[in-house]
Amino acid sequence: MQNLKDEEVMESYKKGEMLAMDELLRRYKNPVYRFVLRISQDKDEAQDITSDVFLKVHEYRKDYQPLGKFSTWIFSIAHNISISRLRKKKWQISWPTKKDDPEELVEVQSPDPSPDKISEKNEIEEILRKCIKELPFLQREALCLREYENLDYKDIAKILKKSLGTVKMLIHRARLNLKERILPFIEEVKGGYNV
Amino acid sequence: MFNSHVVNELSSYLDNQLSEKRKLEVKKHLEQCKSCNEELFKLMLVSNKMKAWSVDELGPEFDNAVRNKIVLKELERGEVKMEKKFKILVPSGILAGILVLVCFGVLMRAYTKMGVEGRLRDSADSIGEQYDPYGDISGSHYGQISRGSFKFDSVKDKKDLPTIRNIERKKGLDGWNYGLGTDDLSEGAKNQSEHEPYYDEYAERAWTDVGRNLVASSESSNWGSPSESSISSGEGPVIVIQPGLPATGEGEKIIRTAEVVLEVEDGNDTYQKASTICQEFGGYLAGSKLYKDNEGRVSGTITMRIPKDKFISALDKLSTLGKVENSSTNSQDVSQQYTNLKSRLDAAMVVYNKMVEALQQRKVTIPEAIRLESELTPVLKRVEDLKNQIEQLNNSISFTTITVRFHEPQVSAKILKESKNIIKESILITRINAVKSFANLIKSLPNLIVFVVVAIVIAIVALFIKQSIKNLFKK
Repeated sequence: MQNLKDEEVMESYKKGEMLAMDELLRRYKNPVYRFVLRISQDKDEAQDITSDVFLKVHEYRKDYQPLGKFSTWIFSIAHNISISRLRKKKWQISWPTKKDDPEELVEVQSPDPSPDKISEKNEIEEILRKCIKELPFLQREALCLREYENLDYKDIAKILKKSLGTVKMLIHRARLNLKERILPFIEEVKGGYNV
Repeated sequence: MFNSHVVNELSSYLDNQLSEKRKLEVKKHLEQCKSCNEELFKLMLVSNKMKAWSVDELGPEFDNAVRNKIVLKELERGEVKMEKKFKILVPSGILAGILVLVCFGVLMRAYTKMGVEGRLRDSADSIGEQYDPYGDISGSHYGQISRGSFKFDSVKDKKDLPTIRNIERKKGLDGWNYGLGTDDLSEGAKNQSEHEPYYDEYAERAWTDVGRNLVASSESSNWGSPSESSISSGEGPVIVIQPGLPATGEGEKIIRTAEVVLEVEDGNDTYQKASTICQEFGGYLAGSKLYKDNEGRVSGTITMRIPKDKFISALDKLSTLGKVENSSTNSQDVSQQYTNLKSRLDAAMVVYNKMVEALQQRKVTIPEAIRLESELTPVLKRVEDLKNQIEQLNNSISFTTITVRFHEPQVSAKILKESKNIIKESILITRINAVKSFANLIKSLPNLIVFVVVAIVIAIVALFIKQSIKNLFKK
């Protein structure tokens, strides 16, 4: 089962091979969970949505057509469930600004004293999380799929059911938005990019 | 040169998502344009910072949770979706059922002019009659028994007969006696068994029981005299068999007595009514007693003398005054006694007449006359005694004696009876209401069915449209 491609595993599951679900879980539970957690930033919610995703995989196993990648299919399910959850409750937090005291944020999140580097890393990560969460939902999804799951723009377009140009634009705008908000907190903004 | 275009495509360039040609163009531009180069650097920095965000992974318990959810889901859905056949069969079955109900409703309406409701109401009324909440089943049975007109028509159910016998046994232990007309009972039982095969077994059992009781009672009888027709036993199952009243033709010298024990609602009222009945039948009260016990219950005893030709009628009427607990009759044939008295009177009269004749004709001497005179007085006294005895006997024969004992029921029994009646009434009302509701439902079914059919048609159309849209989207 481990040597099979995703699509072949799904085909065997479609035929009633229950071990295939174990393999699918092994391969995709963490990618789906990471994706949902990054866009929702709520562990319980992410876990719940992830289990729902696999329930849907089970439920619609007979409708699955191996025309595209399995990863695209499963992420599109995650996208659909996330959207429906988003409609029920807003996943929003306030924007961090320059006026926000990063040290205060760090103290709240990590009261124990830590080395400077870890502290700085935590600061940036915390700001990054907030900034990502403040992005428009589609930008957030597109950027996370690209940055963390390393999916092609075409696959992202299929998952989000958008055109390729739209996905390009979504990812680029997401990065610009993040750049505007994160750079003031990063000291190493200097020099240039050597091609 | 095409600075603005490059800035917009820097993300794609960074992600290596540009075509080869475009990628070379952007690369070429970046070598020349410092601002674009800086912009790319910033984007790359953001990207690197993003990648630093690590997330914990899910443990194996998550797998178990998902598997459990899948199992639960399957259970909830009843293992996959309904098969297509089933999808067709269920609505078809429902429609067929509705059509059958409609046909049934129409047929029921056509079946009777009264309509379904009327017929069912009749049925409810008949149920009410069977329950007879205001009557007393055991009382009515015993009332008929005491009048010697026991009929199996009163047996509503197979269970009735054993129940009656049980009551008899129970009351027998208390020393109560019941008079039964055996002829009537046997005829009733036999006739019923001839006409109603359903009751054969019970009629036979009743007949056997009667015979058994007759034998048992005869064996234990203390009366001894064959002329006495009343038989009673001291204990055990007591059914006193009275083989009909003897014929009342001329020449027969029979003394009749009867005793009736009644449970009545109002003792004073019963006393008045019994007195009135006595007068109606040309009799007279020989004695009466009326008293109250500590609980205020009125009891009494009335002894009345009724002309012999109205004995049975009077007894019947008196039995209607209350619930008959005990009824017994006794007939004593005194013909022989009467004949003896008459013979002795005739003989005494012969002696007396001869003595008187001898004295009147002066055929005797003076001393003999004195002796005859002294002997005449006891003969005369004897004649008078015999005449009195015969007169008393005639009086006893021509006027029968009926003793009516009555008492009011115990309060607890009264309450129990009322409670039973209330329960019976409640059950009856509930059943009647249920039948009426059902009748109304059946009655309104044809009207309701139109709405149901319309609703089903709408539902089917909606399902069809939904399925069509779904198929369209799938395509």
